[in-house]
Amino acid sequence: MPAPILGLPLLLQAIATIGVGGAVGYKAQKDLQPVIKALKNSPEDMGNSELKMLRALLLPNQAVAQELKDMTTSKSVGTTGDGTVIGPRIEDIEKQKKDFEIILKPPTRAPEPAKPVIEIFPDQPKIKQDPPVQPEVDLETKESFPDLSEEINKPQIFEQKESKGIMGTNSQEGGKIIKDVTAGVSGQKDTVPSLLEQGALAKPIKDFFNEDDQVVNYKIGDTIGAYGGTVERSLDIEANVKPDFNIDTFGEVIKERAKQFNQDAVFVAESVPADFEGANVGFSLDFGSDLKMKDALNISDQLSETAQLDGFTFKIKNLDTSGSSIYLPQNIIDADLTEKAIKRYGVTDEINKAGFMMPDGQMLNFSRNGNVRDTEHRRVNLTMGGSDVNDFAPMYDFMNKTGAIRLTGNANRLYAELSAKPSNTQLKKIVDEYNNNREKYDSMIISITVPEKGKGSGQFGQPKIEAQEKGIDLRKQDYRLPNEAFYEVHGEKANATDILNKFKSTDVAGKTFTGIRQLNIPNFSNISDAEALKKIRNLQNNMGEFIESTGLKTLDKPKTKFYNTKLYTKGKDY
Amino acid sequence: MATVKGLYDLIKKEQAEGKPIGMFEQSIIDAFEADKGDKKTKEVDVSFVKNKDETN
Repeated sequence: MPAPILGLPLLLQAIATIGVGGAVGYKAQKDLQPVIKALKNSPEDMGNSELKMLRALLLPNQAVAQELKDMTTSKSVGTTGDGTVIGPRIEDIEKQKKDFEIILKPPTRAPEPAKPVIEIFPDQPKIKQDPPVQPEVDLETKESFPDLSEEINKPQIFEQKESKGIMGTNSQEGGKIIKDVTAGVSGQKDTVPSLLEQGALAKPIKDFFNEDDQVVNYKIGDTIGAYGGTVERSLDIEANVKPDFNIDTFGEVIKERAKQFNQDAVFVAESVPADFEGANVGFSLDFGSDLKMKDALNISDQLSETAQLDGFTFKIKNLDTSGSSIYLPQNIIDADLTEKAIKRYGVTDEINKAGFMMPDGQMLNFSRNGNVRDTEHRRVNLTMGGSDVNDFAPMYDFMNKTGAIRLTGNANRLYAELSAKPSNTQLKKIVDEYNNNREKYDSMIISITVPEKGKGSGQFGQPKIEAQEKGIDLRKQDYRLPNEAFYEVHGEKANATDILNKFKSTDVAGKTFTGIRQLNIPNFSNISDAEALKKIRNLQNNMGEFIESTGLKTLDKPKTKFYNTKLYTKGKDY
Repeated sequence: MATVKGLYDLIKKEQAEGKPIGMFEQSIIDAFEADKGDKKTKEVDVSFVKNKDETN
């Protein structure tokens, strides 16, 4: 379960008195079903960008990846006299029928669930991914820890193996009840933790789960949680455990993590029967459509204001593969467009003449007079067959498709604008340009824009307003997470590794948000039944209005579970 | 102190009185009754993949 944001005074107060809901461990597997279904229906080649992304998502779980591969090759795609057919084969249908017959028979003994869980924190063996489309150049490094440039290109989705017979609190394994266990812990304080730090936070928890024979299966994911207007990167911890699982022992592990990472509070929770003393309710709600980070943040704010909740977290499923994003593992480079642009503008070694820098470090020559850049960046639209040289949207489109970085090096400030994750070559070249020509530049800024297509034109020489608003200006966000990625130096030497490390902390934001995992009713344990019901109705009314006003679609009604929650606070418990 | 059962009883009482039940309340009822009930069924997910050739 992604934790509500711990470390916030209000949350401390809140969680001290409320129960916490959460999703069961097998939920992750369930979440994969739409993806699998989409692949079943898709005749597309596995090499296209979206499917590459899916493959990347599923790489952590080789079993699942194999399943997808099988479905998209042998099972889903067949050849008939009418050509290639996307759909189940006769023999597969027969096999499914037999499987259903087996499933529908009264169970004699539940199967032993599989325990291993796949997660891809850095301590795990590296799993090979598709090579990046651009050349990699080693950066100067001062790190004492290994470079994680490969890891940051991996999506942070953690899934577990299928575990039949586990159905939340009512599940039985050999006649015994299987419980859900969740925990909330974050390593974030002043800065957003990198993937490496997330891994360090997760490692002892993972070890504990592996060693405890009461743990049936588990997942530890990389997620974010929200409380009020604040978002923190945190761990998504879920486990299915046998009845003798000791929640207090698990709590000790979580407390130790909180202590090491200097957190104000952490909690553990276990699903309990309705008549468990102190049991509380936790709701979860699925969205009808996936949200991007920015939308999720808006919802976070509105929910906090209107629904009077004490905290909630988002369900995270997927990477955001639409549009441009600095958080994407890697943009797919349009080689033809790159070639066209180079052919049209030529290349230059002088940055003051350059309009864009391509992923391989080549710079497009935007100087017609031969002295400095005198051609508007937006004119790159001509390369794409467009005629509009006023709108910024085509320029961003070009940047997205080619991985180009927009350069302004013809002034005393070296400015580079990114609309996607840069290559190491680009970063190194820009930093070298600044460091080796200190007499030319007062400062260097690397900014990030995520443009929205199809909006109006901006003023001459200025980014269009809509793009600016939609963009992630990491310096202006009140949300803490992206602030770590912005880089600016005035006078001092720039460091490419520092910039790369800042990008590492942003990868969690490239996910999509599919629901809210827990909606906690404030002060549940300190109020009467009637007051609790009143709070639930208040939540219900506000959620209804909120859903209507935002146009947010929801799937089905909320789901309720009952939890026994233990909150640990700094100074009191550790 | 509120309890799950107390909450459930209250919702059911109001429901019996004819008061409308919202989705969150219904969710609590469902979860409570599932918890207390002797389940004879289990959830299964079934997906149907239509052979695209049939649409041609």
